[in-house]
Amino acid sequence: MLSPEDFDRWLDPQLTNTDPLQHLFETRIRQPLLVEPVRSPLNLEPVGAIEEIAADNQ
Amino acid sequence: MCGRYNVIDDPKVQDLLTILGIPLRAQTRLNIAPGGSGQIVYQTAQQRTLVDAIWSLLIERKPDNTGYRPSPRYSTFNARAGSLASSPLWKARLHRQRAIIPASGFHEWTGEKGHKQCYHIRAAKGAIAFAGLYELWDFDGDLVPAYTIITLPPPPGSHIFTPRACR
Repeated sequence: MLSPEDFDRWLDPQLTNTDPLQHLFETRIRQPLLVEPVRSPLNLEPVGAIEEIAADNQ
Repeated sequence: MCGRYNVIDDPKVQDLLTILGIPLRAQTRLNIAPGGSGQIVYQTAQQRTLVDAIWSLLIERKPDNTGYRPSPRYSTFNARAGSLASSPLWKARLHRQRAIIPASGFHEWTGEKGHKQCYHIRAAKGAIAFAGLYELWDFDGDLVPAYTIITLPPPPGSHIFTPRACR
């Protein structure tokens, strides 16, 4: 997942040297996530409590 | 792998598109699956564009000529980050054909076959901007966008994320 500060560089077709993008390929949770059990991806009906996954430290 | 996601035209996705400079609304689409139609943002020297695109980079005409489908020979809806620099399929596009795939959430499943539990995973704040690669395929003048979503290994200790979760 990209953060807004990454958008311009990621989309820039003139940026063909990808060294400045390498940090994006490291496993890291960049923002807190909510994980909710649902009945189906077709209706997103909740069937349990939401768990929050904290972001990794910078 | 990242196998299903959704887009809901709500203020979070609208904010994301505004940040990206796209003066359009996303279309609500639940349960977007590989081979299905999503929307991507890509940039040329002239502008940024939001377009419908087929989720799988390698596509071909359907045998009955009613549209396009993912190549049955290759699985190209995900690109592992670790292979971006080595795979000829990804390498060239990583340099100049990068896209952002707006999303509201994505899905992972846990449990055994027949007893699987689906999870809806979303950002606590805002929408999700997946990193992807795209291609504009030209089928005899019919320009068809297609894309892949880049995946990363799961965080250590995660019980939700599969080995190639959307990231």
